[in-house]
Amino acid sequence: MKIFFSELFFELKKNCGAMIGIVFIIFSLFIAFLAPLIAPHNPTEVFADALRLPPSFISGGKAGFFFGTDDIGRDLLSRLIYGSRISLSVGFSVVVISLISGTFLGVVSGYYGGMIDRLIMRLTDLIMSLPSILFAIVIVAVLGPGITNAIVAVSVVAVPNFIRIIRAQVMVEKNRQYVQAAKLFGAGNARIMFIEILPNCMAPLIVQASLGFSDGILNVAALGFLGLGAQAPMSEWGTMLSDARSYIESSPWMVTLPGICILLTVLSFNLLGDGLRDALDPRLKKQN
Amino acid sequence: MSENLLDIKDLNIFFKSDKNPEPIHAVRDLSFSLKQGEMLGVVGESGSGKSITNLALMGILGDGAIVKARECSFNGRELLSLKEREWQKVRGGEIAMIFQDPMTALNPFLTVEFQIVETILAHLNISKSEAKNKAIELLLQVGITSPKDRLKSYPFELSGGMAQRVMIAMAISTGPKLLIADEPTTALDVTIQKQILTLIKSLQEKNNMSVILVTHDLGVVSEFSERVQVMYAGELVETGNTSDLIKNPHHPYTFGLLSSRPGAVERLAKTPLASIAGIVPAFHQRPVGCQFNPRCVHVQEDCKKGSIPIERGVRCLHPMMEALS
Amino acid sequence: MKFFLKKFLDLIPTLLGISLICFFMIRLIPGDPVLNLVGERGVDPVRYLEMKKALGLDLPIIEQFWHFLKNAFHGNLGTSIVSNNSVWFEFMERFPATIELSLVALFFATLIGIPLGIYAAIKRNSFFDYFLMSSSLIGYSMPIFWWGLILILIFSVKLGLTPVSGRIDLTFDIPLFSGLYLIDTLQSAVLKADGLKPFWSAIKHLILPATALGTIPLAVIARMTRSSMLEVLGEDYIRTARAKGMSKTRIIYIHALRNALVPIVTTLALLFGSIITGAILTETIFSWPGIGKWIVQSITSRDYPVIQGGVLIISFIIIMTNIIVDVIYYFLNPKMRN
Repeated sequence: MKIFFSELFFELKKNCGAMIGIVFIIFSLFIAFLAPLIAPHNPTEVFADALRLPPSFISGGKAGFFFGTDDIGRDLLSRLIYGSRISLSVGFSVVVISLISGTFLGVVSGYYGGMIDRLIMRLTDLIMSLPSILFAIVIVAVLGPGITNAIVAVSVVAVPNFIRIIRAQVMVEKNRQYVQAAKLFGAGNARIMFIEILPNCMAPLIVQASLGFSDGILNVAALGFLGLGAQAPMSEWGTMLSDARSYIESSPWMVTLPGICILLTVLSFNLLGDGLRDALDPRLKKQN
Repeated sequence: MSENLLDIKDLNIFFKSDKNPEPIHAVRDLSFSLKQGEMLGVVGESGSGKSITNLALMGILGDGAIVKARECSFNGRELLSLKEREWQKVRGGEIAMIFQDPMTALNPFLTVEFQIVETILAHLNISKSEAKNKAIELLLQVGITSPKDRLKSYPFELSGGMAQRVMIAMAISTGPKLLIADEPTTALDVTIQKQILTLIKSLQEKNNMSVILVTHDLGVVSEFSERVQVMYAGELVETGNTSDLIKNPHHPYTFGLLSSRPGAVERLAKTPLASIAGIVPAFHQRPVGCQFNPRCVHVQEDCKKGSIPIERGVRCLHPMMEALS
Repeated sequence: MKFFLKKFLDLIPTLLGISLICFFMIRLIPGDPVLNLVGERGVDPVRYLEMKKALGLDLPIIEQFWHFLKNAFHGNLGTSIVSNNSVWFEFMERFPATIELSLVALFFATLIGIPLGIYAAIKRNSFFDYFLMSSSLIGYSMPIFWWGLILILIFSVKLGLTPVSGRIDLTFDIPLFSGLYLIDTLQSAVLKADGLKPFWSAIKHLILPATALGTIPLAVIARMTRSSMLEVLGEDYIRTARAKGMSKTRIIYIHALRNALVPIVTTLALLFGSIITGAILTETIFSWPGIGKWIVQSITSRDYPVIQGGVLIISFIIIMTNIIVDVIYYFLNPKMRN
């Protein structure tokens, strides 16, 4: 395992895009963890005398508010900084939930085959036949709007990806000799599935986890934008964009900045995911 | 102008690579020639540079390749100075090539008819219907029954032997002067191999075509070609008349190749088949001196330095003198 | 034939599953379904019982599902609480707008994306290749709801080139024929009255939403085409084609492109789903009167029959598209026909 990761990192180091992605992810992790120290103001603190101030480097801006303020006078920079906490933890939760349940279902489906497999595959077909946002909307419509429900909805939508990838891999691995050997030694099904086979399915799982991060962030932000995700006064980037829409003509910075934050975060996870895929897929490696 | 159809002098092929600043030297100082209507066998293990040489003769090596030669003339023209347009006339028109695996060498999305007819139309000045008739005729020539039905087939509907026959029909469709057959039977069933080779031989004689037959099986060469050259690690190690060379190999590598064939050497029953220890060195770890020295049983100190010239058809400082067995 | 039959049979469980989801959706919402349906306006007890009966909620659950299926099969998907129109009617009213937007977006994404991908594959590792691949990754990571707003900010607010919302200037009176304004504005009656002005107005209204919606598909198509093309260009039969003396153009367009297009067609089908996703967001931003905006509005106004019916129709359309793509795939790939 240790060798696997050090080799992986060695491959990644050669990929410029992936390194940019990693650096930016670490940077945003720092910001998210140190938000209370870095943010100049409390993200929900209202400055009644400073409504919709432009950023301080533009004429009309005020020194204390670097990126300006929003429609009810909250410091935009602080809100964006705290927003990174929400987005990263949202991405993390989505990946953890969908990864664990997807892996479990995928391994079981691929290993046992038969009825269980057919049932699980039907279920994934079902979820995948609906556009992800629409399905998430349906779930949120049932559960009610809110950040937790949005996370649940987006995770459910992400599960089939994991199931399919793991299942395909397990179906290959389960016929390998080491599995036969483990069976001969009397290992139980659970042991074979999760201790023998699963570690050999890591490569595609890691790639999908990274891409799942960006999908999760994007989808939860989209739900926030539609008013179905995080609710005010939470400084979630998608929700902030939704609030800022009405002020697009008079205060364009309110629209521009949260979107750039989403774009950069999503982009860096996609860069990392792409780099991981290139590093882990030997066939592609040969091509380049 | 020489009487030879093909004259290669000091052909060198390099590959640029991302990892090494030095380009890889894949083929070194290769010289050989070929007369009109002659069949030349080329023998060597994988990695010996046979296929790369062929692709260079067709001008279809990838972008990373650098091909240099003192002379590389075909039918009186210098191949290396051809422009892309001129190359396209030569390829398929004057030099044709068939490949190892006929199942992947034919386009799976196009019918046999399409693939043969487009070749003919690209090189001969005839109409589409004439080309189609010619295709039928060609398929009959290569021994395919009911050619009209076969024309409508897609490659995956053919068997391996059938597909190779189609490849051959396509290759000879334009009446090329030279046919390069790059291990044409390696991917086929043993029973089909001989049929295909006999077919190539008969077409060669009928059309007075020159053939370069690449194989890793000396047995195949001894049956079909007059002349043979043995390649090892990007170098020509031994060349000569097939029957002489087989009876009397001078290079230890040729000797090794010959004695590793079943039935080649008299040996006691149930003793293991002779084999050459080790593998062909990779491109980036080629030895100094004789390329074969790490694997050679007769290796001596002077084999490990300098470059060894080819003398009387053998690239060896201590050629073997005694005949086989 | 067997192939189509199998495809068709495969549909049934998926469709049943979708219906099941839509059916239980309303019943899973916390609270009384009737009260959920009428919203917060309240209802008197007599009307309550009437509604309960009308909705069939007094029957056993299996029977309720059966009724739901039967009604859905006949196109009866219930009535909107807000407008009192039938869901099917509301859907048909808005569907052409979404189709027009999606098709134009997908059309341009394909038209631009495939040549870009081919060119990048041919010029692999060139500056153009790197540039295209990085910009497509950015396009792929773009939050579409933000991208739409930025387009409005630049082209409508700053440059004043395009309108912010709607499908056409309200001054024009367009008799609806196909529901697609790009077609309807070219009817002879319209041309006689206003010339090409309504047509231009429709295009001006369409161009920003279509750009926003087409960006992600464009990025995906360009990347897919490139990688698919690279894979095919490495195949043995391409080497054969070169050895036959085929020209580069012929190799790319006759020998490689067709084979490379097969996986791209499948991608296009998957993209259709993401286009619908994108349409939901795009229509909300540009106030485009299509089904995306309709669904989002119905969620805000808790118009459950509309959500239920809308989801059912949309998923039905997507499943059908997938089937159509399978059929196209079947005809593109000679191996499948055997």
